[in-house]
Formats: sequence, structure tokens, C-alpha cells
Amino acid sequence: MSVLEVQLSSTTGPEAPPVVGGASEARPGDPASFAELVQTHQDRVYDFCVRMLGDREEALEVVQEIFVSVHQALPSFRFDSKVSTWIYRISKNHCLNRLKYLERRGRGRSDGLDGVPEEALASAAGAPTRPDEALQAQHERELVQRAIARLEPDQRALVALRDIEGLSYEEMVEITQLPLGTVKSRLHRAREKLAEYLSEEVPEGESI
Amino acid sequence: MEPSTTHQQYRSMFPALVDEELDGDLVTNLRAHLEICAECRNGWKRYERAVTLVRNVPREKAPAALSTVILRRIRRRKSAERRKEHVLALAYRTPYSVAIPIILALAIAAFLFFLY
Repeated sequence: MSVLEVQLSSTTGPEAPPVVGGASEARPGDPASFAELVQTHQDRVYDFCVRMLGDREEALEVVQEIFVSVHQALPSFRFDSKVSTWIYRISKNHCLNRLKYLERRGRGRSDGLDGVPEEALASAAGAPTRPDEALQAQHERELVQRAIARLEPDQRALVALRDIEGLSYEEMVEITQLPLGTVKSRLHRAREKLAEYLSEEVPEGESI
Repeated sequence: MEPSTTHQQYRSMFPALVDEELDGDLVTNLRAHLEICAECRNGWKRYERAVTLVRNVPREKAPAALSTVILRRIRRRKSAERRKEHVLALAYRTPYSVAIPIILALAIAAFLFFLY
């Protein structure tokens, strides 16, 4: 039995909370279900982190920290909300902290989404494999990412949660801990900003 | 919608329209306004285009080995915690009546060694 299994087994008991949401949710004390939880959520968490941080390397590092936090906090998770929502809340907080840290250190993005080989982009995102399609997808991705990166971190989180991760407003309320009206109005302002930035990059009438 | 609805009020409906959550009558009114108001129509086009672009951007997929890295990192962390606990437990278990004379003896021996 591995160290992880020993540690996790020590928290298992008959009072373990019920699994919510089916096999994709983890039960504290069960290493197999934790591994499954990581597998289930890692793509969405990674995508969210890339949007927030604008940097794949930073995102990879932060995703690891997020799941370590999830593992630590899992025994105290009360299962009164969806696990995915809870993980997004942890992810958002980690990303905001990392952005503050990077700002304090005066560090910008290291490689960002620019300068990554096309094939790497295509294979990483399941993007089209035809060169022209891959190039177009890469261009779109960079354009949108540049515009998102110009938003304030809180606005960035709202746009990423709603328009990229496709979460409902109720889930966003749980994640941000803000009232529904505030979430909607801030998202509206964020989208307006985004529209402004995208119009600057690609004037209307021009194709991307 | 009242005839006195302002441009600002029409624009505040954009989020619900783009999310397809606007009631039928309001959609009709807003669409009618967009037909006659070029400024709002352009605002809506920019807004809808931005949201559509963001929604359609290809997703980032985590590297295949990421979950293995995460689980290894958790295991390492747990091992480190266990080692730390072990050292602390050892220190806690060692009686002061034994530890203090040994430390004193070592200190005196070191002093004498450097003196002579």
C-alpha cells in the first residue's frame, strides 16, 4: 500500500459523506476516486488557469497546487455543492493569488500562448490538423487570449467561467460568492470591454 | 417595453439576449429597436461577436501526464509530512533527563577539545 493510500485510508470511515454527482466525484479516503477526480477535472481546470494566467507553464504549476489543495481540503468538504464548483472556487483563488504574486515580482508572462509550435497547439487542444485550419485556430486563440489578458483578473474569471467553461449563473454565484445581480452586471461590463478590445484588434467587417 | 426605454436600457438586455434568456416580447422589442438604431445595432454586433469568439475558442487540454505528476506530488508531500511527524515524535519522546546531560557533556567535550 502506498503512502498516499495509507494516509487517505486513515480518514475513511462509515461516516464518509456520500458521493455526489456520480463516479466523477471523489470520496475522502479513496485514492482511486481522487485519481479519477483529477482525471475528470484536470482539463477544465487547466483551461481555466490558462485563460486566467495567459501562460501554459504557470497554468501547469498552478493546476498542481490546486489539486494538492483539493486533496488537503477534501476531508472537510461538506458535499453541499457540486465538486466541480468547489474546485473552480479553489482554482479561481489560486489564480488570483498567483497573478498578485507575479505582479509583485514584476514578472510578465513567460511564453504565453505565443511562440508555441502549431503542432503542439493542435495536438494540445484537439484542434484541426489541416495546416490552414490549425493556423486559423491558433490566430483566433491568440487574439481572444490577448483580449482576455487585458481584462481585470476578476472580470477575466467571470468571462472564463461563463463563456469558456460554460457554467450557469448559479454556479458562478457559488464560485465567486457574489450576489447574482453583481455577477451579471460585472460579466456584462467585462464582455463590453472584451468587445472593445477585440474591435481594436480586428475592426468590424474584417475577418480574423 | 415602454416607449420611453432608453438606449442604455436596451443595451442592458444584451447579456440576456446573447444567453438566450430574454422573454419573447422583450426580444421582439429589442430587435425592433436594433432595426432603427444604428448605434445600438453596432453595439449589439460587437457584443455578440466578442461573446461568440470567446465561446468558440479552442479549449486547452492538459498534458496527459499531468494527473500522474499531481498524484506523485501529493505522495511526496505526504511522505515529507510523515518524516516531519516522525522527527517531532522522536524529539517529544526523548526525556529531558537524558537529553540535557548528553547535550551538556557534548558541549563540555567540545570546549575542552578546542581549549587543548
